Amino acid sequence: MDPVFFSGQLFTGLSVASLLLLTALGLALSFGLMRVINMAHGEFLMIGGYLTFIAAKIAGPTFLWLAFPLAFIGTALLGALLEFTVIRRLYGRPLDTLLATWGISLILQQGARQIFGSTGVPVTAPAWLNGAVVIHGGVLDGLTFPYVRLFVIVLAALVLGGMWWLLNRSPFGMHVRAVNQNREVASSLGVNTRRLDMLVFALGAGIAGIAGVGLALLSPVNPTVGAAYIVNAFLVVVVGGVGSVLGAGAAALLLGFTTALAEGLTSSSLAQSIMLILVVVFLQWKPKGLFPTQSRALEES
Amino acid sequence: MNRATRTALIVVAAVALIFAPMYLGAYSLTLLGRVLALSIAAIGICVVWGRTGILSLGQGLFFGLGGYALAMHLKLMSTPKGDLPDFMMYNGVESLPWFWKPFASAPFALAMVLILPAAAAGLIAWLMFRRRITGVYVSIITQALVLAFVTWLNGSQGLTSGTNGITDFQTFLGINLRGENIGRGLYWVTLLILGLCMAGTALILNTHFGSLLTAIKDNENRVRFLGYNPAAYKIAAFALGGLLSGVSGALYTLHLGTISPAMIGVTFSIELVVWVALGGRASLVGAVGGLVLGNLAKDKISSAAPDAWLYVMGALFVLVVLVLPQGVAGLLGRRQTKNVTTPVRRTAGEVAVDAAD
Amino acid sequence: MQPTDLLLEVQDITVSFDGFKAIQNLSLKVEKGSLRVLIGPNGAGKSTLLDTIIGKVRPASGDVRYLGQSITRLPEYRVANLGICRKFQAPGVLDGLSVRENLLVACKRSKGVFASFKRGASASEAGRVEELLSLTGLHEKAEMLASLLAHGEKQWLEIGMVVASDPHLLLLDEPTAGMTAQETAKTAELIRSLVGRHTVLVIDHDMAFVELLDAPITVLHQGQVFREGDLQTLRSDADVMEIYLGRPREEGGKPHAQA
Repeated sequence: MDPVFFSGQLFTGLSVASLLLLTALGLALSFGLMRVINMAHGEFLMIGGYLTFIAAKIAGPTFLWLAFPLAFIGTALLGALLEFTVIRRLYGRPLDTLLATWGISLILQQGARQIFGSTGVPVTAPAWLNGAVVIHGGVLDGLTFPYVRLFVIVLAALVLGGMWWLLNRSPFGMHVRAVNQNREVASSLGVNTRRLDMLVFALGAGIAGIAGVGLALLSPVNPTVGAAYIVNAFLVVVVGGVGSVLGAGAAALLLGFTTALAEGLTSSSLAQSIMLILVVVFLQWKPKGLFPTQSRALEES
Repeated sequence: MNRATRTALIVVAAVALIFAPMYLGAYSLTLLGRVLALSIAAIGICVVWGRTGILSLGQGLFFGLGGYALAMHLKLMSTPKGDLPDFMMYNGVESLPWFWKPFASAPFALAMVLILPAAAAGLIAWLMFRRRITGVYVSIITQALVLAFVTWLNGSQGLTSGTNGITDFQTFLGINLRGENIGRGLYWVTLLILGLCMAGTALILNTHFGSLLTAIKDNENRVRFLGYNPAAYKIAAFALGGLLSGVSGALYTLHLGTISPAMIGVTFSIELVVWVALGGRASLVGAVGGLVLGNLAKDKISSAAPDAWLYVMGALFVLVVLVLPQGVAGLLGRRQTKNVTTPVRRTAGEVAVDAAD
Repeated sequence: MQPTDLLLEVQDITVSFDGFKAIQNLSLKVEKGSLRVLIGPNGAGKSTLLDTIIGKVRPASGDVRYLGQSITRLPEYRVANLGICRKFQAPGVLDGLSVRENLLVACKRSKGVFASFKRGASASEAGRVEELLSLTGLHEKAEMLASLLAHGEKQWLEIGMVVASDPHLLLLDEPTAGMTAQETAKTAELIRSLVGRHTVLVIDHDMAFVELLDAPITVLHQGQVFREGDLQTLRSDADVMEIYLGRPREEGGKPHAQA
């Protein structure tokens, strides 16, 4: 394969993986903590995208300063509301939660369709993101790295780093890890598990909202964009290992690269199918994902 | 529901359905026939989810396999001898792909309608249950697989006609599909097959096999340590579910005169599940009834108020799960299901343990 | 001990979870038709030992031999079919089936999928179920859903299920957990009636219950066999009392009967 084309595919794969990672992080968090499957999670991504569109309308060309807080806070609040009204009533019934949240995703999609129309709304990236790093000379002559994609990759890396810090170095993260290990004990030691659940869920939604900003910079936002990401985001969680932030990162990269490479070799739809089947095969080999949470308590019936 | 109510309900429904062609107009009869064909898939979901506790979000895959198996035969029958199907010619395919060839034979195609979905479901189940993949993982994987299938279909214009799907059928088993009374005949055939599928499944569920599925749903480990291999039972149940979906898909294709990726995708698969949930996942009558009534309602509401439909359906998803976890059939009280209709309050921790197991 | 009398032999097994050794070089022999009680403080490795015997947990080293045959690597359901049946700590009845169906499912019969497509019970199965209903005292409640039974009744039903398959070796993990003194006494009687026809290995904490069983006791501690003997001897063993009560010997007063 032509090295320029190959590297270009890898780079595209990396930027796709970045969005996938941001979407999957929230899922990994809430799935790890509450065993909740939130099918409406993709819609947080979509709403983040639309909020970016609105921010661009309000704030003009330098809208990013407004888009990030707006998307994060907007989706986080919506996440908290969803947790409070539906999800916490379904604790202990993960399959039912899956169906209920799918219903919510339908409502949110239809809402978006009626407000913004079913065709995508374009967001023009700020001027300083127009352009690209172009490599001259050598085997990779002509390879271009668009600033927008670089921006999305950096954004994902920053959020991943921030999450890692939050979970491993902050008191909040200590509580999350404690509840992850043993909910009863954590609760009896004074952790307000219900509030923690809501915060984690809202945080996950907020991160998906931030992913929505990145998404809006890369392509027009439409009502079904969340649905397009959700299946892959779930696979990232499954492949990464339940509740593992690091695993989600590794799995997102793996999936992003595999898709990009397969796309280079075959058509894009075949690549997608191959990737999905590879994931199922992978689970034959490691049914608990790349970074399984291993403890005796989890093994017992 | 208790025995008497159920028997009464089945008799009334059966009589109403058998005589439906006498009092329904052409449009309504077509709609009803189509929905009855679809409801065979609901029987499968009842077995797999309601009885065995496996939530598959990929029933569209097996439905599609059944549908495409029949559609390939119908397409070949509707193409003049020696010619290629029209979509292949548009896509520059020069000779009939090898896997199309045997579908010229009706017995082969009909056998494939049963074998392909059952074998695919069995294989997928074997891959999952042998490694003890359970719960939401199964849902996610099956959803991914139906997405993979649809994506592949969409991308393979020359082999499967891609997004357009296979369409324009003329004859089947020598019967002109565009004939005068074809609607009525197809309706009765559908009703007969639905009746056979329901009766057959009810018989199977009344054996030890049925008890074991319930047992596995309740406590898979207990069953394992009594000396049963739960994976084998789950694979059998899943294959049965796939088979029923395939039959449903083939009949549905015949009713609609077409099959396309959009008809069998992720949304379709999850919709099936929700109608079953509404009717009552653990009850055959509930599952079939839920799917039939749900789809009839969908037809009425979505044509009267297209924009409102998705809100209605979304709200139904949420309400059924929150308020009617055992569906309408659960509301009517089937056996002493105290334990399932009022889910014990459990902490998320216990759930975490379950999910990880 | 005659080698032919040996039913189960655990040979030098070690089980570790992420580096933590739950069982370390443990060996144990169980003779045919005997009753054996395993006691030990929390974390001594009792449940893990049972997990290993039934194939739920694979030991890092060592071997579990049953009637002279190694069963260490067999899948759980095959171990069960060899005649080793375990009752778990939490009641493991099948909630969605009636009491009768619970026992029927547990009966000794061909357990493959294809054999399961038949209805009702054979004459011998029906007889066995009746026998078990009497044994567990659940005759009146035979048609009731298992989920509606009281806690103690669920424990008995599960013992009945474990017995139903006519196993050679019965492993009972805290069968009296959550029972009243009266129910405990009844359970002890039930278990004693099984000995001889079956070999029984019981784990329990409740010394009153252990006393009622009146059987040889093996004390586990930190994943190893700590002592073996009868209750009388163990009670006067200061080391045993120490690991149980967790207090140094110097402070230890008179050993308590109820540990």
